[in-house]
Amino acid sequence: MKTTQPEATADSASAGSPGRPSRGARLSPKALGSALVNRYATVLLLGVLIVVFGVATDKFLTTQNWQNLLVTQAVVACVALAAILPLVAGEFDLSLGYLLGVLAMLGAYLAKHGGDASIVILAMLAGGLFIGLVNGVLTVYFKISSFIATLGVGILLSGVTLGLSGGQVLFSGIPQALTNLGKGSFLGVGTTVWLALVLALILLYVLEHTPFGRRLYAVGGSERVAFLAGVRTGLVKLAAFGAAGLLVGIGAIFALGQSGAANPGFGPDLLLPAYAAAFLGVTTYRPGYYNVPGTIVAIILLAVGFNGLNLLGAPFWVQPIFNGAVLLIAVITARAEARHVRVG
Amino acid sequence: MAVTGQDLTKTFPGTRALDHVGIAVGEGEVHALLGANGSGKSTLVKVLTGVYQPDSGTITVGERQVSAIASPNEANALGIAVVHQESPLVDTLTVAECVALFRGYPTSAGRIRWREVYRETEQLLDRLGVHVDPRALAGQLSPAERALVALAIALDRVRSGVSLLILDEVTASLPEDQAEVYLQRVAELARQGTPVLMVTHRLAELHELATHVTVLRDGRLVHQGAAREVPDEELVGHMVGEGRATPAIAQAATASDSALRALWTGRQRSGERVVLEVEHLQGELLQDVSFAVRAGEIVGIGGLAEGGIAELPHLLAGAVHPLAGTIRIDGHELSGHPSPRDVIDAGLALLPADRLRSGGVTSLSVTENIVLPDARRYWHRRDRERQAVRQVIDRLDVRPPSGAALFGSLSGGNQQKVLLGKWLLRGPSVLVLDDPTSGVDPGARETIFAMLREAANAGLGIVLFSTEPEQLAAMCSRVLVLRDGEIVRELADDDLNRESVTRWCYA
Repeated sequence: MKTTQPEATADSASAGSPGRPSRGARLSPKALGSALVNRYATVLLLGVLIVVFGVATDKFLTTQNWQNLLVTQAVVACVALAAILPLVAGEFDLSLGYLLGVLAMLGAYLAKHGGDASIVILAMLAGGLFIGLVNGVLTVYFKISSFIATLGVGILLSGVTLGLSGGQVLFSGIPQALTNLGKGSFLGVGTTVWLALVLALILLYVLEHTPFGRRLYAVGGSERVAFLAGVRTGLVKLAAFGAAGLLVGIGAIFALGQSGAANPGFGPDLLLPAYAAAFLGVTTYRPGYYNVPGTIVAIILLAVGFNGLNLLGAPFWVQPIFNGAVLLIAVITARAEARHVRVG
Repeated sequence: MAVTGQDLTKTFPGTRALDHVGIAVGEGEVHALLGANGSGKSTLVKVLTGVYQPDSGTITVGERQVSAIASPNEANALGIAVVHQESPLVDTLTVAECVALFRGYPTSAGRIRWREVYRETEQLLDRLGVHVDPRALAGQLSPAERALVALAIALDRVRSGVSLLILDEVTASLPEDQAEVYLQRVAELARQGTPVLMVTHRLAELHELATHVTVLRDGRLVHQGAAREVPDEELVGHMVGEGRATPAIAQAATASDSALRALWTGRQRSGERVVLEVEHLQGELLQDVSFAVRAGEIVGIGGLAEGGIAELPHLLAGAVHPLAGTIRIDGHELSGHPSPRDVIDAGLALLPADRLRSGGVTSLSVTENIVLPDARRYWHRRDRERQAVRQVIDRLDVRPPSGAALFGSLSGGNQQKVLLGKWLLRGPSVLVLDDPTSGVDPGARETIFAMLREAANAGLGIVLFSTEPEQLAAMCSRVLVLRDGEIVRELADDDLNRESVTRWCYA
């Protein structure tokens, strides 16, 4: 009889979690192939797109183009990473986009009124952490559905953004340290991109290799079970929301540095792309679970699609159609467990 | 009307779930279907209810012979009704609305005639002898009431010419007295001519009710015949396989309590150390409860759900805060409002009754479930983690023997083994088990009991909550009977047997 179930015979007691790429598991070439397709379909699609765009237009595979492409994704990456944390814990944070806007505006406002770089940066980080914790407190201690709580907080923040800006774009007095950060580069790649990558690695480590990460996945899987197993579920969720706020604070610093100005309309538009990336990420690396590598691949995939279509002269309205279609197709074709992942 | 399955075979990739199995259920018969988890009995039920189509074989319903039942709807049309262990009720709807989901709403000019909805439901439940308010929310019913409403719904759907009523482990989650009410009703239906096929783990039920019995193992038919002729030991022997049918296993599963007690009396040396002390504990249902458990002791707590037996485990585990009273674990008094974390750190572990909602995280792996209470201990210690998981899997014979398997994909018995292992790994002083064998097959049950026995021998204090008198009588050195929120009786030594426990718990 042919071995049709390689997973059952492999000594898999060592692999900690389902779907985590296991080391040293013996797989037949065919099974390995299908596992790769299951787990890395988005990576394959990304490769295909790069080849197609590279052939279709000679502007695509240039250093200049890729520098731009990546730099524009540093802020989205921060928001997407922020979105993952509450998602893993089974919660939603809809305030992230508004929070990004208000923090950028807060930085610009302080800068305009003479705040130096350290004050601006500290205020943005502290503001992000604070709002994140407020979201957590509303969800955990006031027991409001996180969907509603964070929507309320977000709407409220959009008003604060307008108030701080007075309806104007603020651009005066942005500290040079910030703009240097936004425009600087290392090895030809923007500093903010490197920093976003470092954040992703830290979050990857925290989620997959620390007790906190394991508890977070357990709370998301079943809060009741985690509670009875002695996990302080309230604190874990609070930490997830707080860390999400902090990540958005870092994203806001990147945004302010890159553009050198704060626009009162900035922020909310980044929420849906960030969530799309987080959901798309569920199909990759650890199918069925929100995860960092999958999310990063998804961000690059969406960015490459946008950039390539732009270079090919596609009209402006094609991009959202591309993004929505990729998300739907990816999730439909993904393994069943990735489709059934819980949201909120 | 009768239903016959002949030569049914169903193969899944890698396993033959059914291998030329035949079964016939005639009018007035109650046919018990036995088998350990994974024996093929679920597959057989699914073939008969149109969920799966067999690879070969035929199904005859009355005069009609078909090669397969295409869908659950077609099964219904053929008069085959099934009651699943999972409740068909929607927690947020009223009982009447749940019933109406299946039978439809009576309307006039598009408007629901609510009075009629409630009256129909009431009549439906009355006919079954079930007293549940049709206006009550389904989520507020006890598990027993939910099961009865589910049966009412299933019966309602097959009113016209039921050819077969299938009960799929319905009584597994019911307390014994409720199960009895339930089964009486089933027996009455059978007497009226309804053929009944019941899948069960409780051999006692089989003797009370069943006329015929079929035992499956590894997808094959290993025994079929009249129910009364076969001793329990033989049935269990068929279920677990001849090689493993040692007398101990047979006795454990059949729970002929005198034999069981003889097996376990030797172990019950009560240590001197008191590991759990409860004084004047008061909760929503509990009035005033005091008791103590010593190291190495297995103390049973029996009674009805309304008597507080459902509340006490949660109070002990810190999941619910008591209104008054003190709990001392291993000499440490828990002050204020202890959380589960405080209780666990003090040395008490709870194996809750609701395995899927409170016991394990179904979406995570076996490994992740095992290390959950102690995640910090295994940080950067993959070797330690692997060793711990290997220990649980080997000692408790978890199948499949893989830490990477999804907890939710395991059978009930193996899930319970994993959860037991998760807590035993921490070496607690007290282990509280709330109905640990519901939905657990006899083989796994024996493994779990053996492990508990061993742990008690090593000095663990065990509190066993159970609604099965034979289990309490067999496992425990003392049994406390909880009624109306108070301990009304302590049964021990000569007073402790199945009859006395049944009498005190349910009389």
